[in-house]
Amino acid sequence: MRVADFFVRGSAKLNNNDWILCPQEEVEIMKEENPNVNVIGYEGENVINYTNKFMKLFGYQTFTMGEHGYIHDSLESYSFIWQKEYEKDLMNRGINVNLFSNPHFLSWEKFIEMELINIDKTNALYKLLKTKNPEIPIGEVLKTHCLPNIYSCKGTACELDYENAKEQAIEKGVDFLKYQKQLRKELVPLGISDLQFESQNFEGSMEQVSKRILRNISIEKFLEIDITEQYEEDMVITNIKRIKSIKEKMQNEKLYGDNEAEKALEYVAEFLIQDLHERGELYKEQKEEDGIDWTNHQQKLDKMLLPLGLDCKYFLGDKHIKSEDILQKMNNNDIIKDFMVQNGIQEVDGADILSKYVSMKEKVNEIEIQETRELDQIGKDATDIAYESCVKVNAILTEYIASELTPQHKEYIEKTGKNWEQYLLELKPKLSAIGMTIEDFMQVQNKNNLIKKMDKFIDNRVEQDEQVYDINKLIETYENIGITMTEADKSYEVLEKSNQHDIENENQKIEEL
Amino acid sequence: MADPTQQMKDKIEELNKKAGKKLTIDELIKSGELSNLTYEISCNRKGIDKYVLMHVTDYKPKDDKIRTVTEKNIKVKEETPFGEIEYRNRRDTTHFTVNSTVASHFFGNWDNKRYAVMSPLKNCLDEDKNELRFNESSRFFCKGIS
Repeated sequence: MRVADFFVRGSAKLNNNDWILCPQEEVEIMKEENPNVNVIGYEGENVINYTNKFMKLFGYQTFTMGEHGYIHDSLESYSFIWQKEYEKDLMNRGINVNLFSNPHFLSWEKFIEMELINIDKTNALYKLLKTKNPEIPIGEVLKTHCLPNIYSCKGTACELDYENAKEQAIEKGVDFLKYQKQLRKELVPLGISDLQFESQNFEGSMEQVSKRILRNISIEKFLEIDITEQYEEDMVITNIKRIKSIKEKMQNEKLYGDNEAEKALEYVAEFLIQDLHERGELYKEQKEEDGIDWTNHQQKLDKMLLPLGLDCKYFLGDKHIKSEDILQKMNNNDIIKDFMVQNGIQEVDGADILSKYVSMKEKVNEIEIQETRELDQIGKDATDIAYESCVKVNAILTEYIASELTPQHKEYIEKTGKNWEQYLLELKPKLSAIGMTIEDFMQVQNKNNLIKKMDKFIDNRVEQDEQVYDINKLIETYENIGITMTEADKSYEVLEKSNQHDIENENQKIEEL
Repeated sequence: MADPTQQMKDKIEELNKKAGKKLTIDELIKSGELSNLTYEISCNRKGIDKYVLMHVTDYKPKDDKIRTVTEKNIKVKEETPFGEIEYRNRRDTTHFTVNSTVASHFFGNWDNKRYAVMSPLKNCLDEDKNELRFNESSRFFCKGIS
């Protein structure tokens, strides 16, 4: 049955068909504050005794809700039959109840809510502990205090503290041994049971946090995919990749200082929410547009393709990916190589991966789904590749410019025979074209602002599709500030003119990407 | 039959006018003036007209909107072994029950709430898109737990 709990993301707008029941003395002000909604007052302290009267007054039948849903005397009871009617009535109006059926506790809204709370709680605990002991290392805080407390979800099967769990179980009158067994059963697939917080550093702790977060709020739960053992293994590979990505980003942003825990955690949250929303929306849209059993389809695709590092979102929409792009992607990924080796593919060279890919492709094509897309027509298209390259290049350049184009750079420019003032004059309009000022570059401490502006610039380009292709403008801009960016094999080389001593370092950065 | 909500609204306004004040729900019921209309409406509730959404809360709706606790920036205080901490309530969803009032359970108590909002399910029906929506940007999801 699907009537017990409706929920809507965000706020709910009311109109003149809706009614508010409030204390009688608040009727006037309630009406003032909600001019388009009808208001009725009640006498008393709380509304609970009036809600059923309220509904009945308007001719609605009412039913009693228990802790886990409607209370039925039997399967023949009227309320049970009424629920069946509800589904039927919605179906008659064209609403596919199954399509919109998603338990709140398994929804991504709920998981995001929980993880944000966990992050907020971690921050709050961190601040509290830091206040008491300013010298306490962040790794220690996370290891000994924050994580065990945050992730002992009281009343659920996420309890890490078994003694505490035992107490709770006893309080609830639950057989603890059975409870413990159930806990282990539920924790093992989540990779939590072995989580002993042994990591002595922040990085290790963060990885554990990230791992748990990523596992728990996976889109598969939202889609109610039946997670098999093999699927679990595949997802671990994918999640490790994501964790690696988070770690790399965090390292790049130098977030490992003792006072940077909040930033790091916020970043994890931001990353996850963005990723989840993006993926979730795509899934849902596709599911609805296609009118197919998308969950089943996606599950089959994922099972085969996720181990190759090809994220689900690459397979949505009318996008095109070339075989060599996939090949390149696989060749550049150590984790995938490891996976291939572990799965008996000893020769992890391009040819072997390609044959594996061809084999995968054949298998995918065998899937009996009406709307199965050809592998050659799915994935990231050239625009996405160009865009990602731009993002990467911008990330490098941003950091590079912020660190190099400082007052010290003035000396360098003058040494190379250029006039600094003239140089700035020429630079100004170029920078203005991408929403920045010379001042942004002048001091290292403005690096964060600079990054924000660069990010904004990238975002703007995404919003305006035609500008995504405007890489030439960017190249020209950087050319004018002494940096050459050339396209080569779908990547970009970043060189500073006449500054050869940095070339090797920059090349190394590019290779790392 | 005319729109039942409008009929009821008109009748309540008429009774308020007659009484010279805004009558409470108890006064309206006890007056007996609405019983015939209630009966008539209930007999005519068919299909999706039979369903109504109910939301109970401690927080006043404002600007014709039920806001989430996240939007209202509600803070939660919690005792830990190291002292009290405070953090934001991150629930960014609005919940309703259908033709019923939410029961208190392990994670929440609704016995002492001050406000109730009642919204006909029919108003959420977007027949063009075969969806249930509360406003343009949001979509309902239903939970199956019985």
